[in-house]
Parts: sequence; structure tokens; C-alpha cells
Amino acid sequence: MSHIIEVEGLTKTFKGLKAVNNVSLFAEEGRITGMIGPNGAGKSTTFNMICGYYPPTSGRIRFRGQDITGKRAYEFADMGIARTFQIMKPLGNLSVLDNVASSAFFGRHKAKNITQAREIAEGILEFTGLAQKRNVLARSMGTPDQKRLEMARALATKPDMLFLDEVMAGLNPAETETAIDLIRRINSQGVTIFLIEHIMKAVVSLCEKVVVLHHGEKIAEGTPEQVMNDPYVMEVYLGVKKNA
Amino acid sequence: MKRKILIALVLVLVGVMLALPNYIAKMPYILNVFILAFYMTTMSMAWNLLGGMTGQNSIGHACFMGIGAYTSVLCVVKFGMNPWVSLPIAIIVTASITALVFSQCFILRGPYFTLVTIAFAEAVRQVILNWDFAGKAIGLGMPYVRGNSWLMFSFRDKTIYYYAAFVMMVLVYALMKYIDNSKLGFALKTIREDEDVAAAVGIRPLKYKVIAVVISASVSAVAGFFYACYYRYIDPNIMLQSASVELVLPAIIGGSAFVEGPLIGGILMVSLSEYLRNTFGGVLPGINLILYAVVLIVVIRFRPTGILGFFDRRGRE
Repeated sequence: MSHIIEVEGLTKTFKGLKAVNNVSLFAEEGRITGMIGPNGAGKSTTFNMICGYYPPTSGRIRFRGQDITGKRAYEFADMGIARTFQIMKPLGNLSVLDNVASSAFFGRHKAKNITQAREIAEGILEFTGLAQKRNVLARSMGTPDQKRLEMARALATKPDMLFLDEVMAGLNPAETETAIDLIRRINSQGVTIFLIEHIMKAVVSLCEKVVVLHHGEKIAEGTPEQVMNDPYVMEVYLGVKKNA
Repeated sequence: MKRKILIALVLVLVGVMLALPNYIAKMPYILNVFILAFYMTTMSMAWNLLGGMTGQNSIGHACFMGIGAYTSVLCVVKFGMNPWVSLPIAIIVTASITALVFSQCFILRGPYFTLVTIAFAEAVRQVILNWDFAGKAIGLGMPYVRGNSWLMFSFRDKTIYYYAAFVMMVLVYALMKYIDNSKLGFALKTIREDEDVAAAVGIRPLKYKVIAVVISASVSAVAGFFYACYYRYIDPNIMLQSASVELVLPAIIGGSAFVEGPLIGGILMVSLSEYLRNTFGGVLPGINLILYAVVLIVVIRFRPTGILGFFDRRGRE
């Protein structure tokens, strides 16, 4: 298996505060990789650096062997990299269909006209289970649907690599199940997935490899079982046993 | 079925508009109101491309129109060009100036961008006001032309201006409608809603914002050309900030989220303001402006999405 994304010594400093410190990781093509860590561990910052939203202070990012450090956010869709946002950003005043159609115009579908763009969008809404809401304004939907819309919009750029930032936060167990199922289906179409998630059940059932961040540093890496039995990870999540 | 009725209604309306001058040819004032309404609507549609569709609120559009008007009048008066030759020059000059200035200013978002448009418009007005070549505060007049001449775009007969303004408005509407459903339109609407999302799906915000302002300014330049040819005289006051505000209102009142917003708002607001001026202006000076303001406040208070917002059911499902 080749490494589709390789990150080397990634560091981000905000006015002296090291948010991410010397993180190296990789994702294997066609697999689902997870990133976990307590609040403020630097997960989202790492994501934003990989996806071109923050320029890294130092470090290299490679996509399929090609150095993409310093590329701007709008260049990623054309390379086949898509992302979702942790805080949902629906295009509120557009219909759900047009939210997705907008991605189909750009990204890698490059729809020629609105009919074609909406056709592609219809297919993706069908796939993500939003088809019934196609004519609803995006801002009037609830959290679960907006989370799904985030994924639908990212998918409409026809990515090879998909970054999901907490797409299951705020969902109830049943909705989480649906989301897990959707992520599996996306992955089975050959899209490599890299996700940040707090819901351990989702991480364990989806990811083949997990990276753990704490205070901006990578503290563990491995299969979910390995990581969850790592003494340091247990300490970070649960605290130190007093009478050990 | 509903669509058919709508199309029939629009066709009837267009027919009435086209036939109207036959009945009001002897009433130059009424004709003037219509021409003014068509002109304002065109300007408002130009504004709406940047303000409504892209979400970059400008209060300097009268200046785009002014640059267009001044360029074409200067070309005609000082260089002896034919007005039709001056039109493309006016468009190119206006487009280049705005592209140059605004490509640098689009890193500013929201109210800061609006402030820049105000400052830009005022700066241009001051330049003209102090520039001998451009006639300073006295302004410039177009050369006198006898009778009706298409070659010089000058007519004694107002009905021709009526048709010219009507065609200009319809063409600009068609352009806006086309953009609305095109790749460009989707890029602009995505940028309006969220620039980070735009970037995430592969839209370069700066590039599309510059395209939007250039198209918007070019349309304003065409309207400015028409203004200069119709009134035959321009002075720096056409670029006053109040003029910029005035042409934002039709779009807001009609519904800036819709391509048809400025169309509805322009026709309604211009006829309303003229009607009020006519009816009340002589009775109690100033009352017409107060009533106009009251109408504005009421519409904005009860339907911030504009008149067309009443008919948009999507948000309430």
C-alpha cells in the first residue's frame, strides 16, 4: 500500500504558542485513518495545515509523493483532496441541491452547465440520503442533515482523499450508525479517508489506523486496539491511577 | 401550469411596455419617468451582481457609472469621437480601473470593503472636481445634434430613448439571468455564503470577486454612457454618494437574492418616488421624501428579503 498523504515534522506556532509540534504521519491509499486526542490537542490545526488553510510554521506535506506544502486552499479540490468543516458551513441561502451542484461545477467534475451540475448533485444526494431535502434551504436543516451535507458537498468535488473533521459530533447513536455506514460506503468506492473524531465507537469500528495527538504532539500510532491499550494514551484520557 | 401563466404574464407585460410610448408620446414627463426607471433598474442590477449575488456591498456604484459617462463624454467632446466608438472605450477604461483598484481591496471583508467603495467613489469625484480637462464642477455637455440621429445617439423624440433604455434593461437582465445559472454565478453565490467553503470546493475567491466587480462596473459604464447621451450633460454630482445609495435601494426593496429583485424594485420605487413628488411635493415640501422613507422602513422591517421574499416559500418548508 502506498502512502497517499505523508506529513513530516509539521509545526504550527501561534505567537509563541506551539499548537502543533513536529507531527509526522501518513495515510495509506484506500484506507480509513483516524486522528483522536483531547480538546485542544491540535487536531483541527493539523487538518487546516494539511488542507492549506493555515501555512505551517515548518514541516512538509506530500500528496502522492508530490510536495504540496504552501499550496493554497482553493488548489486542493483540483488535486482530488476534499474536506468538511467541524463547524458546519452550509451555503445557507441556497437549496441543498445547489449546495452540492456548486461543488460539481468546480472540483474535478467540472460540470459544463447547470443541468449537468444538478444531475451530478442529484446522484450524490441520493448516495448520502439527502435526496428528499433537495429543495430545502440548507440553513433550515438540523445538525445531522447539515453534517451529511458537508460530506455530500465534499464528495461532489470527486476527491481521492477526503478529510472529515468531526462529522459525527452532536449526532445521536442512531444517526451515528447511519454516518458510519455512509463513511464505509464512501471508502468502498475507493476514496481514502482521514478523520478526526471524538466518538470512540466510530473510530474503533471505522479506522484501521489511529494517530493520537496530545498537546500538539503525536503520542501514539497504531491499530485502535494498540492505541487504546497504550499506557500513555490511557493516562492522557483517563488520568493516572493513584494506587498503581 | 403555474409556469405557463407566469410566462404569459411576462409576455403581456413586455407587450404593454413596448406599446406604451404610442399612448404617452405627448407626455414627456411620464416618458421621462419610465426612462429613469429603466436606467435605475439597469444600475441596480449591475449593483446586485456584486452586492446581492457575491455579497460584496458597494456604496460606490455611481462612481463606476460616472467613470463610464465621463470617459465617453471626454472622448466625444475633447477627441471628437463618435459616441458609439466611445462606448467600448468607456467600458474598457471603467473595467480596468476597477480591476486594478479592487483586486487590491478584496482582502477586506464586509463593512471594510463597503468603506473602501465609498472612499474610492469620493476620491474619483474629487479628481474630476479639480480637473480642468474634465470641466471641474461646471461639468461637460455633449455636442448639440439637430433632430434624431442614431449615429450620434441623440434624439429629439423621447420615445426612442424609451426603447433604447428598455432594450438596455432587458439585455442586462438576460445577462444577469444567464450568470445566475452559470458556473460563474454558482462561484459568486458560494463566495457570498462562505469564502472558506468556496476555497474548499476549488473556487478561488479573489479571482471571482474581481470578475464580478469588472462585469458590474462594465454594465454601470454602459448605463453611464446612456445617461450622458440622454441628459446630454454631466457634472461631478452624478457620482455623489447619495446617488450610489439610491441605486442600491431598488435591489434591496425588490429582493437582492433574486435576479428579478432590482427589476421589481426599480420599477416600483422610481414610479413611487415620482408619484409622491407629484402628488405631495407641492402640498407640503419634503413630505414626499418622508413617505418614501416610511415605505422603505416598512418593507425592510417586515420582509428583509425584499418584496420577492414574500413569494419565496423555500425557507419556510
